[in-house]
Amino acid sequence: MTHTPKMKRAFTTKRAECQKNVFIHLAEARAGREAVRGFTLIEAMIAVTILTLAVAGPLYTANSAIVASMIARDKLTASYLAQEGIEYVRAMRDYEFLAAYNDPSVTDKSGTAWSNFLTGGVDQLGSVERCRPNAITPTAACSIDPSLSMGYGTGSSIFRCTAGGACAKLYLFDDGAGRYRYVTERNSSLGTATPFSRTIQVVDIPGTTDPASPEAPYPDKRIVSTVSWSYHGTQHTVTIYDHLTRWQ
Amino acid sequence: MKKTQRGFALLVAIIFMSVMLSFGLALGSIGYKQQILASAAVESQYAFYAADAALECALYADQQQNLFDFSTHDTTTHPNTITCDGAPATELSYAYTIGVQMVVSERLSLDSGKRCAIVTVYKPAPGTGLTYIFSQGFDVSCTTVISPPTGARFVSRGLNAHY
Repeated sequence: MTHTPKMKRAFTTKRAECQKNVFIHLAEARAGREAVRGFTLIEAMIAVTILTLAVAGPLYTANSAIVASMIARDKLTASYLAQEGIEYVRAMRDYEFLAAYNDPSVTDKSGTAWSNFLTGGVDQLGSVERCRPNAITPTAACSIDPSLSMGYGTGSSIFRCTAGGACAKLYLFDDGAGRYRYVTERNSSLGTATPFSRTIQVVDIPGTTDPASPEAPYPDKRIVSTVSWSYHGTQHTVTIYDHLTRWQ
Repeated sequence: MKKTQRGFALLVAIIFMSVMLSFGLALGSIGYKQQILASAAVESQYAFYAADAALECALYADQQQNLFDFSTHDTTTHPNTITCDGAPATELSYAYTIGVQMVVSERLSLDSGKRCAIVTVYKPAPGTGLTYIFSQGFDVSCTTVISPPTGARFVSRGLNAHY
């Protein structure tokens, strides 16, 4: 079949019309009329949702990462503070042994030292008597300030303080020469407040028949050093347990 | 041309999202690692003090109770076990070589079964050398130390004393 010129012209006209229609359609679409109406709202909502998720997800992760690293930092500090507490009590035990050892009037060096350490009262500088929970004061605990000299008196390093009490709070003192130390309210130069508080307890082993007798029937005492702090309203605690005996 | 411009928004969105995501993940992994390191440091302290507690008890057993006296024991007479934290230890191994040395290994459960320690005492025949005490502490219970569950992670620290 061959195309007559008339037919060809008619075809061309149809195509031109068609193209014209397309342009009109596009123009309408651009103006936001007819076919595309409503679609932009859903599209926008989906876009906003995706964007929110894309931003909020990583931001939440980043926030938890920062919180986690802060907790990790505090946890390390707390563990060293708890260690200091344990080592201070050990130093007191050793102090009492050396005191008994150097006292010629003492015959039973080991027994005297241990008894002074546990029940020495205010006269013995290395006594933990006030840090020992018993039937009368079951929550007895101590706060220690290693920046002060060992002992019980005012301005000395060890004093009774219940867990969480203001007296257990630690302050960071800067001596101006780049050296820092943690002190308590007993120290006149306080420094800045920290979130940490520390308590020490010297606990009888359960089943100890006579708390007054230093080792009946178990030779060891449990030393509990607790450091607690709160971060963003959550309470955190690091507790270290050690056991001391009168092995010397 | 129009088609390329339409895809451009998607490209920007993907790049933006991956930047945000990698940023978040990077921070997340740093925080996670810091948490792991801090926990390991604290657990290590627990293990250290378990070892220290067991050493204190072993020193008391040897120096005050004379539990590991060489002359009063032999290949069949085992020494009494150490008492620590209100409970007797479990003997793991005992070896006695006449005229040479005695080696006792004991396991102690501490702090309501939360920690564990293994103490080994080397006692030479009198006048032939030094007494050695090795104490190895764990931050987990003895049950975990004896048969660790699959994938269990725990820390061990050791102390030794000789005199």
